Amino acid sequence: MMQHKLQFQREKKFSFKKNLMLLLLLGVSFGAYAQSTLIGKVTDQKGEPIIGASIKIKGTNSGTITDVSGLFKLNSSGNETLIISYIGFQSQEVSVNGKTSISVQLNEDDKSLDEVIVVGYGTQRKTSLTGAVAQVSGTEAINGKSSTNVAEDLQGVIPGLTVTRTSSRPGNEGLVLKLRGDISVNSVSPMILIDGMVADQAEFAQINPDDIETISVLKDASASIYGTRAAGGVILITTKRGKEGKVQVTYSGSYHINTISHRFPVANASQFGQMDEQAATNDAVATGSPSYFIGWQKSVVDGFITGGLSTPWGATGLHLYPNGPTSDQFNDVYGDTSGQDHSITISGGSDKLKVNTSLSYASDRSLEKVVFDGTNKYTFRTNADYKINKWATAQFNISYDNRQVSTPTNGVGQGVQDPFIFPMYNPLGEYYDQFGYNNILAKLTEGGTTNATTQYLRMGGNLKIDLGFLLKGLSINGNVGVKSQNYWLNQTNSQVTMYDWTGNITYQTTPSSTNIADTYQSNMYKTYGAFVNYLRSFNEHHISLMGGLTTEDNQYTQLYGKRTTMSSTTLSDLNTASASTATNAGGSNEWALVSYIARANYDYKGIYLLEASGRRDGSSKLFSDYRWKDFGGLTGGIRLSEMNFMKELGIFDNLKVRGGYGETGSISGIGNYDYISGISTGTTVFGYTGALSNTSWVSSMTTTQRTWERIGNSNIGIDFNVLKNRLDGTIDVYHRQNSDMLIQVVYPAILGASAPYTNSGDFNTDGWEMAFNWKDKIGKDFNYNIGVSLANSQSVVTSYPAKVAIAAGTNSVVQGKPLNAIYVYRTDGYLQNPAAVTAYYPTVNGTGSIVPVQSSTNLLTPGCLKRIDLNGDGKITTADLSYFGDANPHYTFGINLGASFKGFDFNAFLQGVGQQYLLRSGYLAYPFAASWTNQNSTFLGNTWTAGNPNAAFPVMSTNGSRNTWNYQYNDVNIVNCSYIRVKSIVLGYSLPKSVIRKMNIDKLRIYVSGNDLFTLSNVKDGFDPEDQAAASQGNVDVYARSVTFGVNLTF
Amino acid sequence: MNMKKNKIFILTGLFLAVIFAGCSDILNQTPTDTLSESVYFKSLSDFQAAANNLHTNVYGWLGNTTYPINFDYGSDINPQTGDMGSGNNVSGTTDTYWTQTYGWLRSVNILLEKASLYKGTDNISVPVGQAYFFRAWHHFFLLKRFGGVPIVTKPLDVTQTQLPRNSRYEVMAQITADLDSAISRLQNYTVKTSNNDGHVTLEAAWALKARVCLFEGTWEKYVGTTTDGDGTANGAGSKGYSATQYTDYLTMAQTMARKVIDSGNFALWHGVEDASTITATAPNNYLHTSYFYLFNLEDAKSNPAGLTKASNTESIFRSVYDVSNRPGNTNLTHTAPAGPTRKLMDMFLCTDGLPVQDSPLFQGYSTMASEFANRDYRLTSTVKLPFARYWGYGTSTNGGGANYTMDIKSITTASQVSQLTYVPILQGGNGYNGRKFATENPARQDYQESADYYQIRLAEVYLIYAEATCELNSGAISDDDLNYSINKVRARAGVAPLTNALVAAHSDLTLIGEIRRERALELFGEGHRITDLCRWGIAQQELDYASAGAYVQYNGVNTEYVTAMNPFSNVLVYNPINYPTGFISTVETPCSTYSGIATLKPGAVITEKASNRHFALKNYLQPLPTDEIHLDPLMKQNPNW
Repeated sequence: MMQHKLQFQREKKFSFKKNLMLLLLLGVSFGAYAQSTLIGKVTDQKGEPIIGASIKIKGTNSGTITDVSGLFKLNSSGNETLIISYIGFQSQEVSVNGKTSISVQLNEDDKSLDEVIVVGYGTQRKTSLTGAVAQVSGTEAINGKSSTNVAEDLQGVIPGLTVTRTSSRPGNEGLVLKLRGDISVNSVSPMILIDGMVADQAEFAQINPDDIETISVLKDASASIYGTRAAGGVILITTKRGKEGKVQVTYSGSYHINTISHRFPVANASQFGQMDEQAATNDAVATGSPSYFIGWQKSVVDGFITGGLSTPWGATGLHLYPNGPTSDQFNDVYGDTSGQDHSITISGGSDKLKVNTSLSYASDRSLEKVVFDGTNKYTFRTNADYKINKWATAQFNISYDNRQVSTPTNGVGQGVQDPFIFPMYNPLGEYYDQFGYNNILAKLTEGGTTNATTQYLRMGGNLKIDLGFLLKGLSINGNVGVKSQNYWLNQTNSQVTMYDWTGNITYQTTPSSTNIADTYQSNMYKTYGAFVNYLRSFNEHHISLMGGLTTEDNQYTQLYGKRTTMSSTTLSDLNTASASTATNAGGSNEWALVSYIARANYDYKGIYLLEASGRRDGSSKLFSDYRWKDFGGLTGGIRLSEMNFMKELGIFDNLKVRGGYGETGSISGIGNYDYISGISTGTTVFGYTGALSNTSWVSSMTTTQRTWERIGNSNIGIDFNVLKNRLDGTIDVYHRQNSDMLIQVVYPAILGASAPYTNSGDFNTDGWEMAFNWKDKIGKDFNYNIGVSLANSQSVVTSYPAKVAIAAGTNSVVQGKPLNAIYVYRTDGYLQNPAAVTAYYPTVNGTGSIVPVQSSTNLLTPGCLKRIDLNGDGKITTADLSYFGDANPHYTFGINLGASFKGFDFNAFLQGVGQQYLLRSGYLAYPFAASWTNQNSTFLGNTWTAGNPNAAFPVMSTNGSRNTWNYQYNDVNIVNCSYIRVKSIVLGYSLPKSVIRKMNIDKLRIYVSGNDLFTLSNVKDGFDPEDQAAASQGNVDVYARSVTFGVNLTF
Repeated sequence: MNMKKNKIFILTGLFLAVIFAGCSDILNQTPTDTLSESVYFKSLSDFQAAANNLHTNVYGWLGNTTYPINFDYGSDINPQTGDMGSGNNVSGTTDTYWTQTYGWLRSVNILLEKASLYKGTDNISVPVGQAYFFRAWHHFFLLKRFGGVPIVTKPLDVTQTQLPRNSRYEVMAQITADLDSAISRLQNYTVKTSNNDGHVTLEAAWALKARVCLFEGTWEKYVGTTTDGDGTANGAGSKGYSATQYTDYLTMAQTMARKVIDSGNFALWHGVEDASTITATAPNNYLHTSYFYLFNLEDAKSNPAGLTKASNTESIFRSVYDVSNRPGNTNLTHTAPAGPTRKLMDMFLCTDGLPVQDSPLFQGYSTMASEFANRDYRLTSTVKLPFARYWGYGTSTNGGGANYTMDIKSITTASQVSQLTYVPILQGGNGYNGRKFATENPARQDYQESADYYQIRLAEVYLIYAEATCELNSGAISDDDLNYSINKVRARAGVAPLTNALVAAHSDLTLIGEIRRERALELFGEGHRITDLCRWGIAQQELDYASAGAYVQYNGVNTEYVTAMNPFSNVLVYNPINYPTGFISTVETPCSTYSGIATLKPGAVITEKASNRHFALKNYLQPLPTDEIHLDPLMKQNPNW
């Protein structure tokens, strides 16, 4: 197969040369007919000269470009028509009409109507689009943001595309991209393609943001052309290509500072003392006398409150010493850090060869100031376009990305939740830990490093042959793509030592527990496709047909090696650990997908638009009988604004209604060979020496009878421009239906295994999106624009056989409800006094009730919630749970504000979520959720007391049963993580051309921007609104804000 | 022009050829890094590997979820709370023990099904016999926890999963039949032929059958059908019940125990007994601690006699661990899971074979150490002696692990002394600190403890023999039979033999009561206590007494616990504020229905009130997970859940 391909490429090269020669000769002969010299000048609307504008004589390949003064010279016969064009401006045609000098003013492109939109396997004019497709330019997406991760930058930018993150740690953001909400209980992500080649999300995160020309998102039937992989929608990324004109060099560079935007809500000594005191006092109602944290005396706790006593966890045993230092673990670990990025792009070309090449470097790190926790990224890309001859054109792309994510192996996010009695250092300056293994600094700095390096080498080629001589409008094209992905993980677990207060070692990793592990993974992805295109107009009938075949194949291999007992704390090569302890593992797999593709577009007068697309897919992951399925879509639209009666109304500059239905598929959740029953193997120990014996078992239940999930996408949309194109808008409403959802039906556990996935479920999603943009100018120089987008979707698991009992809290799947349905107990305020407690018990204490036992120290006390016995059976059980809502983000929005005045530009982008419910879990979710950690100080002063009977939170207690009753699974415990965040503010200044021209510079802009500067949120328990993770040790992150200083330079 | 056309056709043709050449068989892929079921189970080694896997599918040192089951949590003799023993649990939607066990049964049944289809010539009877053993093992686990359950003897497919419960009598019939199948196939596979490497042997199958038959024999004798339910509205019903069956089971238990004992292949471990066996410097520090070191026996560093696992012939069936290749992954030493209650402290006999209330050797509670004098060796192997010195573990924890070349009593460095000395604390707990299962190996950190997990050991078999014999003879057992069995266990504990004369001389003692006491002491923390109390029909009484700790007053006078200071921090050991329920006051309170167990006397701190304990007849069987009842309408919940 590969051999064939190589041969094929050699053949092509051979023919290029000859034809290039031919073209060169032709070009020379055109020149010979020139008669006189024409002089011209090209300027913009402000009269500033445009440098590098292209001047072309219509109908020929002859032309020139403007110089630094905007001037050009051309041999003219006096009756040509010139085509003058420049990026970002509308092209103009000018007739020479015998003149010897001309002056041309180009108008800036108003691209909203005439924009070229990238769609599946091609492009379309925005005006003729019938699907729900949103497109932003690379510049719009990254505008001023310090993140070097484009996927993260898309947060709030495209209506319907939700981007959630669990962290602001570069390289570990935990990004989840979701288009138009959920459509399956299996995680269905948008399909991402970079220049037509399938990419994973990491690749998207890794690409050089400055290389991106456009990001186009196919949301509805327009994605059907991608068939089985498009259930989650499609994101098409197109990279910049060389433009005809002079060679331009662009440099972009920036430096940014990350600072803490959100401190962790942990208590200091005084706050902790007050919380402990309150809890002990409250609990005494149940136990008879106050009992303090780890058996402290009241005097100790009082000491914390007043600041007189502050004690580290003791030097001997479990006892406490007065007057020791307390710890500010937070400031010991977190602080300001910085990052930078640099990118150089060289672009230009002739009508025969156009090239765009870029090189970039970027680095960024998290707020962990004591160690490097972040990324270093290097990218290279060259895109070249060849016009081989009249009937053949070719494009080649090559790119290489290398990103290293480095992070400490141990300690990330841990320890800041330990109580303040654990200082980081003892008086000798050693890492202090008396008890356990919890000194975060020791772990971060000594515990080893994890370096994950991912490299992508992508090579793609596309050859198009015009067969117009056979049939007008007929062409074929073919492409090949090869992507080599290499992932290398090097992880060391080094020796960590901790000391007690007097300098004795309390914890030290045993040498035999230190280790070095390397994982090497390689993916070889190959794709090729062949397409036949037919494009023809008959009077007002415009027809475009396309058919083709694509094949994808991916081979994966991995190699793992590990050695224990490191000989050095700094060396991380396997060779530096003990060879006698070496272990290793392999792994490999392969999958393939073959697809047949067809699409037809028809429009009449540009008013009536119709598109049909189809795809037949076959996957190696499915048993042959169920392997092949067909997908298709049909969309249509009417441009009402082009109809005479509308034109007469004169309201709409553009008005289009469109709609359609299309099917897409998914087999996410199905492994490569899942229909084949496998044998798993392992080892265990018998005898006295630790000798290993083999073990084996049948891996899991399998079935051959399953096929793709099938998602029907219906969409109706409207696009309009009014008020002389100053206001434009798009509104879409959709319904998506998954009728063959792959689920594991739950059978009784006596089956002894999880059932295999079968096409047994249904899922629906409804939603809408809207986006409006206003742009105008005030006076001559002040331009401004305001853009707003808003979207929502609501999912329902319509059929999920084998109903499972509903549990308190977040249920991933409940039939008839959205994914992540939250069930809670309804409450009716607090039990305000002992009499209320006594009266409450008999009403809810029947057999099987989960009320804390009245005859125990766990009993409910004043300040506890009053859960409602919804079904009135005289007891509180899981049958009293009621549906509250879902945990998915709703009403996601983005607001874009822009303005420019002379050389100044301003842009602000706000983004947020209108509703997202969360039941917080983990140690800091509520006071004394865990007894050995520090406590969440946000609750102090906000819990119920007799003097504060309407407090936001129930009574403070250290009793586990009461806390479970009060702080888990009640309606009042739900946090609405809605927020609006100033994602970025950019202020830039471009130096006047009159100044920079003297330096031979085309453009020089400096800017300052701020990211994540302000946040307004509803979250009242002290966390960042994006922090959805369990508030537990090792799971938490401090969110960063950053300020960027940057420069853009073009010459 | 023709030239050009030709070129186009050639290019186009090549182009299409390349594309279509690639598509042919690319969609037929097979796994490249794993075996497929269709080519497996073709030789003895395949069956052996599958049987080896079954050996890993049992509860051992598997992590926290098994604590309540493994260590008698929530029972009357371990103060650690456990809902199952306190009777405070409610029915849950799922139950990992249910799900896990049926998962393990599936693996067993797959092996047996493959064996029935096996056409080869290899002798696969050993792995098949082991599979039968585990099928019995898992059904027995379910029987103990839930009563009658669906019997599963083949790998089910998704259409066969709605089964009714079988009665406990049907389950027992299946278990004994499977054990007989195991025994017949393991005839030539003994501890001798297997080098006692941890595989299931003939003797293991005998011992399991003895355990199962004693369990069910006593259950049917004392509990009968009272927990069965009617099988239609609730419970698994009583199908197959016979009022006289229990004697058959007791006889079988006795027979099987005798087979194991008479095989002569096993002996109680006496590794760290007297100066002659202890190689450490200052051997007197370690006298009669075999019972302690048996449960952390690893390499030569794990005990002062320098013994390894190879010295152990007490184990009949065990799960093998290894610090490198199969670490225990359970935080044993740090958490000290097996501590005693007041009741257990007083259950240990004095060396004359008499309980504390009867023995003239008992020294009272006035000082912290007084109650430890003249007692069963197992007391000091199980509970730390106040102000004695103990090695820590690992390189540094609690002063670091054992250095047997050094006399721990000779250490004078102040910081080391403070870390090695055990200072009791009465700050809410019961004042006692357990030792069993803890290690002092300097090469072990938390979660690295990797002693083997004893699934069945000889001491239990002795006790099975004595109990079954006594039950069969209406509470009587000859001195010969006692010497043949239980007195071997008492001898290692340094306790005088149990004799008919000894019992006859004390009206509060009975033979069966003393045999049951011995079981509680010897098997403490090994996961038998709650089910033992149930099969004796006394759980709802024994488990619902208050739980107490150390005596802060004795005969009306404050004990040393009240006055003692921690010498290293100068803080009082006892803090009354942490005992909101106070201590046993004014009158003696019983803590057992057996008169041979000492009462709680005024002055013991109460750690759990009687009113907090709600173990009842329904708690003899745990509730079925409610999800299962929803998914399988034929399955009925146990009575009163």
